[in-house]
Amino acid sequence: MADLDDDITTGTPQDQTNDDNDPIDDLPDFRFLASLSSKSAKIPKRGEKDFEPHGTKHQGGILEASRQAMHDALSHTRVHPPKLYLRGYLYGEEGLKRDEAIAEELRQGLDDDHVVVVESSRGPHFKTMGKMTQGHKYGSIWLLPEEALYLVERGNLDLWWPTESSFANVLEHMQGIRKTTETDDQPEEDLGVPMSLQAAYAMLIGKDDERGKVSLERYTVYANLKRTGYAIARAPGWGSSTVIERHSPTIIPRNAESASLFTWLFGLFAESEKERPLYGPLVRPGMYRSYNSIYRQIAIIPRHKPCVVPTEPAPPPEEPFRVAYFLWKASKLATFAKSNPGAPDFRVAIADARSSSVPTLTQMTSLLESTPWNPPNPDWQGMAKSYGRLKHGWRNVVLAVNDQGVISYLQLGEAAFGEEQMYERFDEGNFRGAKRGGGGAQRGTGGRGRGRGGRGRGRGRN
Amino acid sequence: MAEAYDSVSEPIPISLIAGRYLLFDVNVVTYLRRTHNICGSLIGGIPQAPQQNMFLGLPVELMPEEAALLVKKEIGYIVDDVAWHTQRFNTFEGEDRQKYLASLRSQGLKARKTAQFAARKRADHGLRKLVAKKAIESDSSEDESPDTPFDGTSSDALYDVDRPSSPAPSSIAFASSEPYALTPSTSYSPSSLPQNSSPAPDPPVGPGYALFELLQSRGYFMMPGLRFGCNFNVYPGDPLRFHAHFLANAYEFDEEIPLIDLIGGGRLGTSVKKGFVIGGEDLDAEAESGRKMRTFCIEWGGM
Repeated sequence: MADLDDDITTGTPQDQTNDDNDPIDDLPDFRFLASLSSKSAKIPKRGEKDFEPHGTKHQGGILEASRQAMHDALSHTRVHPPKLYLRGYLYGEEGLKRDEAIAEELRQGLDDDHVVVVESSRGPHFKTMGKMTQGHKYGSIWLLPEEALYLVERGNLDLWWPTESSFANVLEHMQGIRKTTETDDQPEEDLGVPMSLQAAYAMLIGKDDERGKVSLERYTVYANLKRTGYAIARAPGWGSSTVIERHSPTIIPRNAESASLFTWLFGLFAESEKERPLYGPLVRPGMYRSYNSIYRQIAIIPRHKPCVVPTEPAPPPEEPFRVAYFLWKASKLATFAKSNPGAPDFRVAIADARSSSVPTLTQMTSLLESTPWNPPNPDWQGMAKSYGRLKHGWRNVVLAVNDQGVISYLQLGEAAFGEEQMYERFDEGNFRGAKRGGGGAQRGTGGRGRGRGGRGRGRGRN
Repeated sequence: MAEAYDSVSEPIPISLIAGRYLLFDVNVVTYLRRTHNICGSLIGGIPQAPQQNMFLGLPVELMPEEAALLVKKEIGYIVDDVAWHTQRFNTFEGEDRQKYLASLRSQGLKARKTAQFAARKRADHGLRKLVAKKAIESDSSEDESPDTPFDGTSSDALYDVDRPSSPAPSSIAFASSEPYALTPSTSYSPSSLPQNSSPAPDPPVGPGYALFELLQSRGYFMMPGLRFGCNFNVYPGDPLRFHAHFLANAYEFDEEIPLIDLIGGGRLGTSVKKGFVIGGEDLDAEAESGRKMRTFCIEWGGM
């Protein structure tokens, strides 16, 4: 247990590639669990499966072994060795309510959903979890329902149902003035009873707007991402009652200056071309020396243009299509600080597959507009990076769809196909050159050169 | 071989928490899998290997169809687990409570013994390796005496766990007699299962239920179908061992099925080597004829 507990940062990166490599084999063979030790830090390959039962003893034997291995793995009881012992108490709505049991000055700075108090903040988990109370010399650390349940499930937290004297005990622990040697003849203080995993689920899983609860679809996504190694925090738009502030354009893209200059320059030409006659051909008769000027004239359907501040903002995002969690990559854990986590790497919205359907355009726009402006990397220039830009989008958000515990992650991006002017390359000669030169970035560039050269010679001869 | 899951007696309690149907007892999970081809989905982490998502553990989440079938066949009953636990913890007094704490204590003592025994074994193993290494280093002398005492202590350790002056590593230096704390998986004990009197409503199921019931009665195993965009993945045997044969979608009997769905499902199914099954229940048909439920399998021919 001890070494498993310490692997929170080291044992993570391999999972990100391994998360869902083969959706066909959705149940791994538990016979291989034994080979998964923290030392090797290697996920075993999934076992080979058969097409159908054919009634042989051999096949029956393997199935029996797999079932037994699964049974044995699931029979494990969570044991807390004293060295790593961490106890928490639940102050939920069903029992001792936090706001009634604990004096106001001792719970300042907490959210309504902080319902589990712990006796210590040792260990790697509290780098990303828990909230310290403020404004009083007796501070205590409180967990959100998903944080507490995750730690219980992981075998790190012993969650108790408290009695009246539990909280005083917690404060003593936090102060380090707990009597270290308890004599046996002293009647033991009644601090409550330990809760089972089932009890923890029953008391911490609920509807998202219930106080001190988290919905099962959000919790399973949270736990899945935690196991993968991300640092996770609730997003400001967690509760349905909170109104999300629209992101103000504080971050101006680095290339804003040059981009505006270009648009201004192009605008000079484009302006005159925009005035179309009411009738007649789309492309005005005349002499054309570039494809650009033709294509620009026939672009008559308005296309989506992403902008920092939407001109016609969508309504505020609604359940379930609103950002529930912020995610930071495992590689940032070393420098991660709860108080100042920095901009998240991903934003996740969570939908239940059975109770929701594909989001409407409005829902999707609202969701995307609730995330900050995040244009593609300005270094991604040129045709070769076109797909990268489209895929990244100008805003993006991850949507986790949860069907009875089976999670699929989708990335929604504000893609702007109108920003990718495919015709511009025709004038660069890239088109012909690339054809001749064949695929590959290096050869493509070479091809462009030759193409240009070729055209140059051609002109010369004429 | 009498395993604990053989002693599971029906009906089994199914926890209803926030509209979800969950199982926390490993014996029940194994029993349903073996006896009723109901497997649900493992959604929890396993503490033995907490930083991975491939092997998952308890609880098991049942699809509403699975829960409904268990209730209908009187294999299981629904327990409002939030109410049950609220009531239990707020009235947890006297003998009941003492018994619960005593059982945790005895399990904790066992856990401590196991852990300390394992630690001692590791320590002995390490020491023996160290000695062996030293023996190789001082290979010139044929003195094998260092091995003997350690063999002796290791065999002693088998029986005498609390021997005070053993070479214990620092992790078990506390070696107190206090039982380890532990978190049981389930709150129900076999002797005191919750009453089957709660008026919890039957699980809400859609048109998928009839198809689910038919396939389950034929011995198929069903899993949630999200990965293949259908209602259920249908397995010919335990999904631990076998690939799914079908992707199943249920429709109302007179429902217009868009052709594009048939083609999409058929193509997807065929490309992952599975059949695309559609099924519906003819509510007007005679139940006795056994043809109330009709199913069709679609394969894409023109790949």
